[in-house]
Amino acid sequence: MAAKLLEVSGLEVQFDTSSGPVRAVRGVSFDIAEGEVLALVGESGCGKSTTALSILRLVPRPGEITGGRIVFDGVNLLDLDECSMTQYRGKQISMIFQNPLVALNPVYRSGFQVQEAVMLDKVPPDRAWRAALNVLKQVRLPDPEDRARSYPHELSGGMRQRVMIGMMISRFPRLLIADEPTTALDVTIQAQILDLLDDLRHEKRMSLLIITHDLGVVADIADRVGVMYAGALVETGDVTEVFEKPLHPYTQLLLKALPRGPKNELRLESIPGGVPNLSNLPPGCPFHPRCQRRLDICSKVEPETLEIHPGRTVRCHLVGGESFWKR
Amino acid sequence: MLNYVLKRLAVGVLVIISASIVLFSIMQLMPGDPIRMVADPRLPPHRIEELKRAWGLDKPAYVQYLYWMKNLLRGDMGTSIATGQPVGYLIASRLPYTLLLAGTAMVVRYLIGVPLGLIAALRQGTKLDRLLVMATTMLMMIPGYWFAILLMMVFAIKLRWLPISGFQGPASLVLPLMTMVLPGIGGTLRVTRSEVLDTAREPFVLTAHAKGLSARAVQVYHILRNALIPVTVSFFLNLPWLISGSVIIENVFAWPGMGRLVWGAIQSQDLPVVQGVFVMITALTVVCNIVGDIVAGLLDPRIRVEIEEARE
Ligand SMILES: Nc1ncnc2c1ncn2[C@@H]1O[C@H](COP(=O)(O)OP(=O)(O)OP(=O)(O)O)[C@@H](O)[C@H]1O
Ligand SMILES: [Mg+2]
Repeated sequence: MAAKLLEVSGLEVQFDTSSGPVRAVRGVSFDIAEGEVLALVGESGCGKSTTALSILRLVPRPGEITGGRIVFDGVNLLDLDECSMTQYRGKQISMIFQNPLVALNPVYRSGFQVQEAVMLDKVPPDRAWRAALNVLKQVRLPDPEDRARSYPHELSGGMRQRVMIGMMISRFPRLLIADEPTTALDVTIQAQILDLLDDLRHEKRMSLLIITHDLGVVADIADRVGVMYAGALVETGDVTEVFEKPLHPYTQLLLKALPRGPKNELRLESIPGGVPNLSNLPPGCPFHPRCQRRLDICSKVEPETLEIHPGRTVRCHLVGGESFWKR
Repeated sequence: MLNYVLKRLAVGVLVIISASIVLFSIMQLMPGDPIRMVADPRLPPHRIEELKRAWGLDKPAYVQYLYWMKNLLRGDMGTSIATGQPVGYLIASRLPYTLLLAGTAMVVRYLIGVPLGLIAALRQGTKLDRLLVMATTMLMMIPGYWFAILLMMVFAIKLRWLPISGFQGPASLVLPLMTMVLPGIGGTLRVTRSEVLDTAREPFVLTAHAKGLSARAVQVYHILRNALIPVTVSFFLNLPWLISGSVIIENVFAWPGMGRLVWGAIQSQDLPVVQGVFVMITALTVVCNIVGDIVAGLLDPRIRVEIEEARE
């Protein structure tokens, strides 16, 4: 198995809101190997974006990382001062965001926003501009010379997302985080952007952490998947393994009860019951109120994460414990 | 762009016309008449009638208005009933003083308010932030004339550092300037502070951090660059308010500007002068708004598009 590029362990993130602390990420651990694609899935508000932003140490206020380790290439990023952290952003790890309509600065030409990134590596402006044009070509932006001189509002959503991707790969990062990169786009564009990401990560030998609602995307592009519920990772494993033999009742529900959408894609549908309130979680396993197979213990004790074999974990009383082995 | 400006100017002319009609009607409704204010009270009634005829004041109000408008279009703003001088000349001799006072006040206000707003935003939630907001808010609540009298007592009467009133060179500018600047700093500080804080929450700021820019570079090129657009535009939108607001300040300090001119004219019901000053202020307001729009367009490409599209 390839060396681990990123190892997150026991990550805790808390938002100190006026209505009390919100534990948005609770003891999340996962890793990504060199060249690997990990997908994070889960319902809205379960802490996917917060987990991703933690890796760049960009969790917005009032959020704060309160525990855990984020080890990138042997260095715990949480130990770095702000200035050293800047050396990692964009250069080692970069991130594209969900909504390209608001993620580009409206007052600068799109080409400049790529050039600005390239120039961080001490490239003189004229060479950086040519490099920017080159990157925009690589992300298959039509008429890159013209589009580079356009302002973001003059571009379509798909084109803006291409500019965004270009900006974020222009410094050859080793890990690219994509937070729902296609959710805000038209269906036809979605497939193109995903193809682009898949091609780029092969060409550039990047690792990819992709966050998505779309289980079809997971099946298409990811090597491994992590399922999040209420701020915690409830199951991780190889995509084929998890899809064929999901262990957590939540994953099972996700995969089973799903209607197949257009183009045979799987989508996360609402599962009976609501997402729990992160500032006031029920005792025990946070999923137990919605779980159809709950045991007595589920409402009392929160399960520990169990490693079935390296890279395959689950967090459920049904797995492990006596009941699991008796069956 | 040119088309847009022309269109805005046309609208501006309509605004000026309607505003002048409103003012004309108000002046008509005021008790008393200008002739009695200036003429010797012992004049026989038929002499007064003659004078009225000479000034056109015997005609129905709308006829008077149309005359006035016709002359205005020829560039003639009429003649002061009280002094017999052309209104255009009176305004031209006073306007520079008003523009000097209001313009300097505005520039000084922004030179102080914007940096303080930036500091407050960057130090958001600290003691310094709260202190700045509180102190400038207190300044805002003090009435202008009260403030003027206080400053006069301290700096002109007690300390004798500055002239108490009138215009005797640059030193005379200090007290009226302080009176106009200090209450306004709070507003500028708040606008700047909230624009910076709002911009800092924009997703593109996260993008700028994620691509690896230093905290300082993000602050300058992505937060300030964007936040200062509305702040700059507010400069031009606030300028007319300051010009109108200077009426009281000019009178307290006997500043030889338009405010003082119009105050005297209102008291003697010198209609042509009041109308003239009013039209002038409305015109300045219209121009400031157009300049504000143009500046916004220059600074923000999205607004530039709106402006381009608005010309049809
Ligand atoms: N700025 C904030 N202030 C307070 N709480 C926040 C803030 N941002 C996020 N949270 C909390 O953190 C939780 C996780 O948010 P996050 O954005 O990570 O979810 P997500 O899984 O990315 O959801 P989505 O699919 O909607 O993007 C939310 O449920 C919310 O309670
Ligand atoms: Mg999210």
